[in-house]
Amino acid sequence: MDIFLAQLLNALLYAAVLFLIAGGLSLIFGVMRIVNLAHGSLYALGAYVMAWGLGRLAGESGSEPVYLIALLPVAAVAVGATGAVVEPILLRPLYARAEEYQLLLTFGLLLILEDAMRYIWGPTPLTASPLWAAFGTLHLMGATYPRYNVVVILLGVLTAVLLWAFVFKTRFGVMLRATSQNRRMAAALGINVGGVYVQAFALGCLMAGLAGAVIVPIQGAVLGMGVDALVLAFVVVVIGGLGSLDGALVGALIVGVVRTVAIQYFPELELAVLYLIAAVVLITRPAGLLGRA
Amino acid sequence: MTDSPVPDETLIRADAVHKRFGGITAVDGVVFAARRGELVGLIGPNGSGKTTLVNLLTGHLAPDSGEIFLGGHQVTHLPAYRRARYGVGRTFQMSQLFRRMTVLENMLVPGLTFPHLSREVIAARARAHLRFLGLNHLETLPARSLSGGQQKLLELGRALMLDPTLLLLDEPFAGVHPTLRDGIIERILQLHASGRTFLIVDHDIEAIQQLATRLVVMARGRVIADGSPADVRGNRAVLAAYAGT
Repeated sequence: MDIFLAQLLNALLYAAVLFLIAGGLSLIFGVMRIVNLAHGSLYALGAYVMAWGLGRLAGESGSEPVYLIALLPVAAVAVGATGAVVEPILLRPLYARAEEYQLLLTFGLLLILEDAMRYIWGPTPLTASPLWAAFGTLHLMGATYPRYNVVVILLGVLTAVLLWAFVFKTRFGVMLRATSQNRRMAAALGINVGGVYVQAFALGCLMAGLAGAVIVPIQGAVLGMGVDALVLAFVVVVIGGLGSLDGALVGALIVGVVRTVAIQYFPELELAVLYLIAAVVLITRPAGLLGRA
Repeated sequence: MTDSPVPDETLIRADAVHKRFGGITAVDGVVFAARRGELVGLIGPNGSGKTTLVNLLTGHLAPDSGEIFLGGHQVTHLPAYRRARYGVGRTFQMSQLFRRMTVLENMLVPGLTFPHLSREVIAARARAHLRFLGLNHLETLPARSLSGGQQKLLELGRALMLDPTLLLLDEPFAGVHPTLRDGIIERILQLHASGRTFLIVDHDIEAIQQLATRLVVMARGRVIADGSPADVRGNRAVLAAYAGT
């Protein structure tokens, strides 16, 4: 029972982080039809900002849980602000061109961000594990589990609820959905499509930054983490449906559970199983489980 | 609804506007004006440049040269959303509904662009327009489930949410059942009587003649006739354009 519960929580932890990354990727695609290849690097940027901030705030010990509350918004907003600069300056001039240009540009941005992070923070990974340890452990139905991991799961759930409320219950959410369905008509009805785009892109980047920031105490900030995250985020959105927030949630849960089971029983095939599921979904349901063709 | 029309005041004007797409001149030096309260029909054979002219007037396209004025103000480079907020409402040739939203949500979208209006006020206004259009019993249905004619009515209703002074309707009767077409004509006439200015593009000459007080005819990107329906009907250039000679 205790192992089962711990594995279930591990699956939810993984799903929560993946949802934050893939949800942002899907939001950007759903509204703007941009496949943002730099999304993983923005996730890594969030991780580096968080790790750097923790280092500045607490030194090497970095062991006060309150730092998490203080620095999570800073890291997420820093990455969101990066997105708010990137969209109007780099992406907007390319909207009238073929999609390949956007792919090339976001791929270039991925490389630039990787090099920028290497230049600013160096090649050595940054860690913040004392913060993870500072949260202590939780005893639940016979299982001992890191309390920080539960915080991450709850943060994932909270973000999903807030995002749903934002998209379906707010004035801006209605405009966001209208723009995602028909930007030409949205403009004819008085919506500033450029304004919606920059906010949607910044929000998607903010989610990536939040994911990066929240994962730092568990796995640190390391060069290349963005590419790994991007690949898995694509697996999530292929399964769930690119452009669908519900799909990102369902895809993240599926990947989280499958990965946890795979690590337990056949760790060598962990990624192969995920890619196989993505391939089957692509063949049988190209738009994803909850996507729209 | 707006006050009674002021017959001599120009609401929208295009001055010598040109628009080319590659090697094709879609609009070739068109001069066009509509006065407040007019109901103008814009007709012409396929490919004559009617929809391009509408797109230029609404800001969905920018002219290569020439100028557009709205209520005496230069709006040539003003984007579509700003013109919409200045009271330019439009519908498209093909229905452009937000298909995954309900009928009511479709109506709310333009209202929500006015930050000073509360959601309650916007919803009340939307429901009043839906009643006027006879769509109030459908407000909870997804927009994609409406018939062609109902979709055209919903598009008109959505444009009304902008409280427009000028409505540009691109083929409002295309693919619409005759019964619903009469309903659309009736609504347009009521809205016109309340003081709104209309520019209606359509191939349905019979419907246009029932509505328009003035017809503008385009062919090959140019205005070839402009006058009362009776004058235009007998115009040789118009007959030649429709005959393709």
